[in-house]
Amino acid sequence: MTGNRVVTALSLGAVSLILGVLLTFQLRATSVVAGLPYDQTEQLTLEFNNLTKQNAGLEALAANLQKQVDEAQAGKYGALRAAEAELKGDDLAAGFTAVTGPGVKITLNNVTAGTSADTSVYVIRDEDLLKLVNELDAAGAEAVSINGQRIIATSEIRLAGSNIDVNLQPIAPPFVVLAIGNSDRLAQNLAMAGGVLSFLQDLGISVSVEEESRVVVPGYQGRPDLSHAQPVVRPGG
Amino acid sequence: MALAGTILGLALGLQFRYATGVAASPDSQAAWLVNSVDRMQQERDRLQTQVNSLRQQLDDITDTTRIAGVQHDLEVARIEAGVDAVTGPGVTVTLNDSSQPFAPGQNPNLYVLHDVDVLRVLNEIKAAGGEAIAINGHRLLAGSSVRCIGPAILIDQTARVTPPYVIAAVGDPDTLAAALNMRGGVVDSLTFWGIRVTVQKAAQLTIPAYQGAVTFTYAKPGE
Repeated sequence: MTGNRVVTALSLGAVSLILGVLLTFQLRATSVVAGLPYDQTEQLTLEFNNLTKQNAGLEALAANLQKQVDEAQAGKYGALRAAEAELKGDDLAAGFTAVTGPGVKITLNNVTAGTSADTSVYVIRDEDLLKLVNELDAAGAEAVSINGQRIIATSEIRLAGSNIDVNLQPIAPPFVVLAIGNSDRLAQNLAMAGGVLSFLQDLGISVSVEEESRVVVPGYQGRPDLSHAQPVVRPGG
Repeated sequence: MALAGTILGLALGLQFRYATGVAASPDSQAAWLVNSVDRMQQERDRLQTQVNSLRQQLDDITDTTRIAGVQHDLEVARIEAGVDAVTGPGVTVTLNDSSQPFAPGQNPNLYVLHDVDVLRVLNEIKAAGGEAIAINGHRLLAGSSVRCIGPAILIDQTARVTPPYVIAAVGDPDTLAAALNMRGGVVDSLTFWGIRVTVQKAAQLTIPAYQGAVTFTYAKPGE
């Protein structure tokens, strides 16, 4: 009798498992929108959302430029002031200006207390910070800094000697990463399983993520030395 | 067991029904998405041309009196902001998945390109003085991201690109190539897994402008 019950329990268990698997497949199958594989639908939705944002941005930029052109043409301000206004806008987009807004503050630190004898303790690498910035960017971060160094298009995050360099400046732990954007979205994306923060936490790295209503991300210090790239005359210009 | 069998059969049947049902259903939503994306891309291109033309008008107005210092600053800001296409010497790095057949039991994951591989190549380029970078024609900016989605990567959450990944960078060709090809460097470690990497120096290459505008919804200027 007991043996029978065990068999029944086992088979019921097995069937439940299969049923579960089937249900999962089923859910996947129903989430396929009308003939398009799931990935492609997701991809199109992503593109749709981003194009909406891009087009709104371009429209705002066009309106702003039109205003500048009109004002400059009307002699409302001198050509030099028009150039300065233009520079201000491009500086902001380039990351040369300090910006403020809601966001997250991430603090990472190596394990130090009482582990001096253990040389196998994991140390935060340049690649971890690189992945972290990438995850923030993918979650829509608009401005990011690490230990006061603003990340711009040409910023490296790279081991140089015993330090990690950002913008050719050595930085050392604790690493404080500031990012401006939708703070909930940033924090949720960072908390995802398989993300770099969960990886670091598993290795014993001290990780803290704080949502902030206001963070200040500094501008790039000075101007990068660009001597090879020359602007091309733009199409439609 | 009989009951279990029935349930299983029922489930299988349902599964089959749904699978065929899905395949046969009308694809109006998908068509709508495809059309919308298409329309919005055209709209984006139109707006981009308009923005370019306005910038040019503004340039023409301000050009005559522009102080050399302001002009240079503006040029640097525009390169970092991806406003203009740029040209100059540099390198082209081509990355492709491994062509090596892997033995049974080996992890095929090790032989395909991941987003982190691309990130490392980009980072090395930046560390070696890369001034403007594009992947498969998509200009990369401060806030650009590179994420794996299946066998492709998603650039800036908008552009889906598939291998081979062609990274073009303006900078000093010798410095860039030397940094990438350094012993134990990023090319070495990718080649180890059979990833096909080529680094080619170029006397002149052109990096396109960023598509769209850098807009801040949350970040405002000021401290």
